Parts: sequence; structure tokens; C-alpha cells
Amino acid sequence: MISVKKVDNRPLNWLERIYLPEIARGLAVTLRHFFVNLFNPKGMPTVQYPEQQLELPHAAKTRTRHRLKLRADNSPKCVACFMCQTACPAYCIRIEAAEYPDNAVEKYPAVFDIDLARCVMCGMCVEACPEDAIAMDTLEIPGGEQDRARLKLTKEDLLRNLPGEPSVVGAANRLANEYLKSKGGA
Amino acid sequence: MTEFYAANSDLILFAGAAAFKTLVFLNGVMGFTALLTLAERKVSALMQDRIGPNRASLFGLALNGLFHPVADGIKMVMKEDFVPGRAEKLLFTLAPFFALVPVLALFSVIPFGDYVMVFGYQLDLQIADVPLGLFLVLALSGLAIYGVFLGGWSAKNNFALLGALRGAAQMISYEVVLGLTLVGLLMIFGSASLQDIVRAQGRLLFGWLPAWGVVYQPFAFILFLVAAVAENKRTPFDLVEGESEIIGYFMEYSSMRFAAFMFSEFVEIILISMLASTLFFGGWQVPYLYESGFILPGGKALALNHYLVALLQVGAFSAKTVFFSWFLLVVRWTLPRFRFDQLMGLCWKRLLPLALLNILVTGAVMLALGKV
Amino acid sequence: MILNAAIYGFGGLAVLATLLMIFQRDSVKAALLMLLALLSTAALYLALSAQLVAILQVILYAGAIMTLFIVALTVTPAAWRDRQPAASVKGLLGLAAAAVLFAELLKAAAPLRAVAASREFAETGSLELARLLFGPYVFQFELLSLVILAAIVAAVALTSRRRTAV
Repeated sequence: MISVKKVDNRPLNWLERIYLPEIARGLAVTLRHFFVNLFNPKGMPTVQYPEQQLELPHAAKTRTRHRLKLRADNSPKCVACFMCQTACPAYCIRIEAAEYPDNAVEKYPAVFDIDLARCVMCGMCVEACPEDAIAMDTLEIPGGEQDRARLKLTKEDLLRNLPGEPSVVGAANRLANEYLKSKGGA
Repeated sequence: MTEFYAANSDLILFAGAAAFKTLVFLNGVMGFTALLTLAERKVSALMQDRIGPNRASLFGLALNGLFHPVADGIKMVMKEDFVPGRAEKLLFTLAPFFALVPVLALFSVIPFGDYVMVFGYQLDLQIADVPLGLFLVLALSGLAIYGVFLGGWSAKNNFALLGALRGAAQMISYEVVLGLTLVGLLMIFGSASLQDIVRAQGRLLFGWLPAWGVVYQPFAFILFLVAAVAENKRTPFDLVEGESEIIGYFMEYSSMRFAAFMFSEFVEIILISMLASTLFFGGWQVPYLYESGFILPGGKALALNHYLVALLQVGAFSAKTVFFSWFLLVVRWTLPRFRFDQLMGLCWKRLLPLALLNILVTGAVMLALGKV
Repeated sequence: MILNAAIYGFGGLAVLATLLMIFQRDSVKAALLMLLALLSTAALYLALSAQLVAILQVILYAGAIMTLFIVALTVTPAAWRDRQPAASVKGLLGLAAAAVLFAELLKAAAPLRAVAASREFAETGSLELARLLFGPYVFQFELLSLVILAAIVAAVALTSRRRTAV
């Protein structure tokens, strides 16, 4: 059943057809905004973005700048599986894998770049990650740079834990941690 | 050689003064145009509860966006100057000139002040006092159509041509109304020289009311404003360009060629403001200010220096121009666009008969008052 | 001296533009050259101190009539062809007709040489023109407006079709 909305398109009356009173009414609205904002610029809702930022709600749906999580021993959780790079619709992730000299189980990312100029903040990389290694919960909004090169995040920019979070969650992590511990720590 | 100077000293002095006035006045207009591009963005921003551009800075000094026109200019120059492969190269290059030059030439007949005595030489504050100035305005504004049309056609693009066709139809139609609204003024002031019209507006009606054109012809002023905005091709009459959905005549233009079209639009705003204040709001006249100083209706007088009077008059003209430019910006950012049939209907079915009626009523009243 | 130079300069420009127009194959460019000829003729009038005629030339011919010409020409298929077809026999015929017209014009203009041109720069001729138009010639003038009205009505009648479908 299609819902139908009846629109009351009554013909314009004489005053409306000569436009001028209606134009005056429209001008009154815009001029009120103009003068109120001219004499009270502080009343405008604009946030001067890079210098001034709003407090963001810490909700699970809020996708903000990426980070790479660390294990308890400060090694990256990322195993360079290329899942996020494959899932990324904007092709903004570049990973180069390398092997631990003493670890035959997993690799680590020698290079992990995210080009924020191309990132569309879709969160696919977070969904794709089997290791829960990448997250978008830093509550920082990227952008507002004078130089394009400064929007490119490297592994060093990305690797960090949030306060109070040396993460050890996940089966693979536990396995890796145990393996590393059996080798005498790294 | 000295004989030549002696024989033609009048001519040389006149030419030199004219060149100087042209330089000063046109540079002032150009500077104001550049500021107007910023004002457009700032005014629209304030009307929409925004702040507007405020980031372009020189040595860390942003001054709330004062350098944005400079930044825009540099950007326009640096952009790629693209010419479509099938375009008519010569006409494609000429079209921006056709858009800009007639508008700039029109400033020559606008009086921006009465006169100043410089070392005993009477310097008229008008580049050229053409006896038929009002007709010259109509003639040159009619030539501005070619910029639109050649820009649309020479790109050999169907959408650009459609925009140009809309533009030609709109501009020819509103040209007629524009001309007819001015006939009433011609009848009342009895002269087509803009300086004469402004001088005639210095009189007082009933001993207290300044005899400005808008007092005689309030109706013609509204018609003039509507027709002039339509000539300017800006919202609510911007079907020529229609930047938000239908595409306009300069769609294939880029870089400074595009900027010339954009610039001519802003120059036209200033021109319309100057014409509106010259024809209907007393031009450089300040109420109750005469050559010797203020003489109020009560009989009180305040003698003023000649240069101070001239300065006040030029200042009044500038203030009126700025006010009307601002008003046109506000109108542009308030009203929605007409549909094309509404646009044509408004011109031919409403404005044109009203303009003719205005002429008829003006003539009848003048006949009744015995002013013919 | 300056006026003479202007008269010869703009006269020459008008002749040059007209010649180029005749030999131009692209119809829109030909119309633009005609516009140039009209404008230089207006300048010629101005140099001959006929201000009103000069300005009316620009308003009516350059501003209105040529605009309509060019609008009509640009939507013809010929204006969108990249390469214009070569001149045909028709072109030669046109040239012959132009030669005949030119000869007649020369013949008609010959008596004008006897009229002495005024060397002074007149203020404006609009007042005298208005006195003549609305004085002795007012009947003919108003009759002309009737002819134009008839033309407008005819044009509307030709283009408007009876709207039956609604």
C-alpha cells in the first residue's frame, strides 16, 4: 500500500502573485539572521575546527582516527595478514610484511601506512581484522592540515594503546604471547 | 613642438585629466569588485549562520579573511587554461572580453561627484559627460549579450549553447523593460546626461523633500531594480548559469577566462548600484548640501570649505553604491530561482505593461501639472 | 585632424569587415564580422557628430537585431559543422548580385559628394529630430507604429497554435 500525501497546492492569491510582499517577508528573515550574526558573532554554532574541537561521545559507533593496538610486551598485535588492506574500499592502507627472526608462527608489519587523505572512515578495516589489532577509537578527527604529506600516518604514528589498556585479548594473542614468553620474552 | 602645446593646451589638459580620472575611478571600482567577491561570501555566510572564509593569511595575519580575494586571484591565474578541442579558438578567447569590456566602459558616464577646483582648473568628477549618457548605458549593456552568447556557442558544447540561448532570451527581454523604465526619468528631468540628472535631483520639493528620482518615480525604481538584476544574471534570474543544477554558458571555461565572466558579474553589481543611486537616489547629492555648505529647510546654514563639500559628495555616492551592492547581495541570497516560463511571463506579461503604464501615467501627470 | 583620422579609420574598418564578411564561409563568423561593420559604422556616425544615430545604431542593430541573427544562426546545423563546404555556383551568383548592389550604391551616393559636411562637433541632434518626428511627421510616425503592431500580431498568430490537449 503506497501512502499518498495530499498537498494543498492552492493557487497564489493576488498579493502573493505580485511577489513584492513575499519578497519583503523573505528579506526580513534573512536580514534578521544577517544583523543578529553581524553584531553577535559568538552566537553562531561554528566550531573553528583544527584549533577548537568538540568533545566526542565514547560510543562504539563513533569512528575516529585509527590506531594499531599493542600487546602487553609492546609488540604490535598486527600480524600483517593484509585483511584490512584487502577490505579497504579507498585503498588507503599499505602494508609490507616482515618475519620475526625467532618466530615461525606469525609475521609483523614492517610498514603500515594509512593515507588519511584517501580514507573514507568506513571502518571496514576494523571489521576485517582477525586479530583485533586495528581500531578507530582514538576520538581524534583527522583532517585540517596545510600539507598533504602530514595526512599520511606511518606505523609509528599508529602504534599506541589507550590509557590503561595493555591488551591481551584474543586467542591468537594469547598463543603468540605464550610463544614469545617460552622464547624468553622479546 | 611648443607651438603645438600652446595651440592644443586645452585638449592636452583635458586628455590628461580624463586619463587620470579613468585611472583612479576604474582602479577604485576594480578594488571594490575584489572586495565584493569576499563580501558575497561573507554576507551569505552571515545570513546562513556561518562565519565564511577567514583562513587565507599573510605572515600569519588573517584579518578575518581579507586576503581571500588575493588568494582567489592567484589560484585563478595558476589554474590550467583549457580550451576544448572542437572550440572556435578565436571566439572562445574573445568572449570573456565581450562580457567584461562593455560593462567597464559604462563607468565612463557615471558621475561620482560634482567638480573640484585644482589650481584654477575645474575638474569634473565624471570621466565623460556624454549628452546622451542614458542611451549609452542601454547601448553598451545590450552589447554584453555577446559575451554570454559567444561564450556558450564557441565552446561547441550542447549544454553551454542551451545556457547561452537562455541567456540571450532573458537579456534581450529584460533589456526592453530596462529601457522603458528609464523613459519616465527622461521625461521628468528632460536630459539624458547623467550629470544633468544628478544636478536636477539637488532641488527640494515642498521646501524640504529632496527631489530624488525615487520620489518622482517610485514605481519605475522597483521595475528598474528587477530588470537590472535580471540583466545581471544572478539569482532569482540565474537561469543563464544555474550553477546548482542546469549548466550555464561558461561551463567549458577555466582559469582566468572563467574569472573574467565571474568578475564581469560582480562589476555589473557595482554598475547597477551606481546607476540606481545616480538615477533614483540623487547620485552624489547629499540632502540640503549645496556648493557653499549645508542649508537646512529651517533656514539654518553651515558654511563648508569647497574641498570638504566635494569630499562629502563623493563619500555620499560611495556610501549609496556600497549600500545597493550589499542590498543586491542580500536579495541574491534570499530569493529562490524562477522557472523559465515564469521568467518570460514576468517580463513580457507584467513588467513590460507596467513600464508602459508608468510612462503613460507620468506623461498624464506632467500634462495635468502643466510641466510639458 | 583627429576627427578626419577617425572618419577614415572607422570607414576603412567598416569596409574591411564587410569584405571579410562576404568571403567568410562560416555563417556565425560572418554575422560577427557584420557586427564589427555595424559597430564601426556607429563609430563613424559618432565621428560625424551624429551621436543619437550612433547610439541608436548600437542599441537597435548591434544590440538587438544582430543578437537575434546570431542566435538564429548558431542553432542551424551549419554552425556546428567543423569544416565548411567549399563555395559553389551559388556563391558566385551571390557575388555577382553584390557587385550589382555595390554599383547601384555608388551611383546613388554620387550626388552626396556635393553636400558640404559640417566641420563642427554638434552637441546633440535629438531635440531637432524629436521636433520633426512629433511635429510635421507625426502622422507618418504613428502610422509606422501601426505597421509594427500588425507585424507583432502576425508573428504571434503564426507561432501560437491552438492548445487542445490538456
